[in-house]
Amino acid sequence: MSPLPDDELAARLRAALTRQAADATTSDDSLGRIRSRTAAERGPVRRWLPVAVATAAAVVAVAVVAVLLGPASRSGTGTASGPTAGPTSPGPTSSDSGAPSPSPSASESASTSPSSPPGGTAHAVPAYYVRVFEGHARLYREFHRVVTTDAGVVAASLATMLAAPADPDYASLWPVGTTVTALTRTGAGGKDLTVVLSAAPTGFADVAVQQVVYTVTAADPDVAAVTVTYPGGSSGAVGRVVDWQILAPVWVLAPVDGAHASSPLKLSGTASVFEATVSWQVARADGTVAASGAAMATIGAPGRGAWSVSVPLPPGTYTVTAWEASAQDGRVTWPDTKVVVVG
Amino acid sequence: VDGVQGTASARVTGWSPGRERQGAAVVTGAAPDDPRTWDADRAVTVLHAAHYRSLVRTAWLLLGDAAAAEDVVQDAFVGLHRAWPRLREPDRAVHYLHRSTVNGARSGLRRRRTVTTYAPVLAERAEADDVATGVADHTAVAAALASLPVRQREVLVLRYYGDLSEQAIADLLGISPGTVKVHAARGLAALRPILEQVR
Repeated sequence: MSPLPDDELAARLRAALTRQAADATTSDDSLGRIRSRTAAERGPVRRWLPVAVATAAAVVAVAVVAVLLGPASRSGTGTASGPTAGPTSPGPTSSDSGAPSPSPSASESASTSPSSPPGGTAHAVPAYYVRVFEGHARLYREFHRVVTTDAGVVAASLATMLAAPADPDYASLWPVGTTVTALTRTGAGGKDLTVVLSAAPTGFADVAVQQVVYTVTAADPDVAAVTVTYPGGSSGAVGRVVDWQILAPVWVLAPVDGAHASSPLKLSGTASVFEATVSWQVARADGTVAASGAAMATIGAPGRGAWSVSVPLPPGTYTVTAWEASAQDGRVTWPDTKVVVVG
Repeated sequence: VDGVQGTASARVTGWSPGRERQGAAVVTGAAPDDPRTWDADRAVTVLHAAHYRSLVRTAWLLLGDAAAAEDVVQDAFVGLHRAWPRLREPDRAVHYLHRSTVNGARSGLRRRRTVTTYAPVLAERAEADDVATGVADHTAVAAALASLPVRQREVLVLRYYGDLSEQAIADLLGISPGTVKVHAARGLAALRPILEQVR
């Protein structure tokens, strides 16, 4: 193959930069922040009253989103990085590498779903699930191995999302038995996706819609907008809500639940937590603590960073938990738990 | 809600600043809209509406850290407010904003270790979310971009995201157009392996 001409390279760079730049987020009150600083330099504010009102409205809007989407104690700007740090790669992987654990039920239901064409090859398809903590619902991600064609990946991801998660602590906001009744692409290059589901979400409708949006946009990054329609509701065309509003603050990506691993046990994941500090512990089968500590994520909230820690352990069955210690009182929030067999 | 949409409009409102939107304000402007009559508050308001988002996007491409990117642009606007009495003219003010943004991003890079946090996170994201399709995407390109020398990255971002001419980039960075050309060629060559893999 002859090398690409420079102008084709340039066109690709242009496209990649444009898409990457679209991930950048700006805070709602950016002008208000500038004004408060310039006003401070200059003395009393005289002319900003209408703006102050507008800024207050923006704050109210943010508060409403916070109520819908969960604890938004994090204020200010969003991070531009999306869901991060899946340690997985296609192909067979060992269980202690953080690979998606095969989930027979999910794989089977996905691969036998009418929307997945027969044949194809093994894909690790992404699926987002939900946990509810203190009245708020947030997203977690798993990868499942599914045999499908390249064109069937989005349908297979949705079917996986509607089936059982590998981690029993997770659930779907879409009731058991929900199916995809239509999956259509419109717009230039099929970048707009409409997903019609057979049942309405069991609660947290906004989060349920994002469960679908995150899943299909992870399966196909070219999808620009998603419309989720279900009996009694439709989302309109939406994209991903910025990750710090919707993803669970702490994800344990390795080990996966039920994994067999060797010592030292490597715990890793991503987190968007106060001062980038992820708390973790490893408990024995009898509940006593074998090891515990704190790991630093590569970036603190509202960014989402990667974290990892390596723990030497004698053979046995352990429960690994990682969580965010509340900035207010240090209590355990958003624990993510995995059972792992070391030996 | 931060939509995924807007990629296309990003190009339009992108970095070709002052030309369309602000040009219109100048042309239609009789006395009340004459930028020379603007005080610093008004200049900040108008230029914020026209350029804030694209400047944050540029800073984000240079820095790889959303919060830091926005801080840099906030600083640029606060500086503009101070500098307006001597700028007095939108094109010069926009140049000032761009320059502050690029310089702020560069010193931000020195201060924070964002490049080291940025590249792995992006690479992991690319790996994680694109595993299903097996295709390297823009996040992989961004990760590769983050590994380039600062000048090469600045030139590539300004040239291919900002659509600035070699002369404009030279003015902005305080280097010669020939040096801009060299940085662009080297940067593009360094990114060739990854760009050949993306669609």
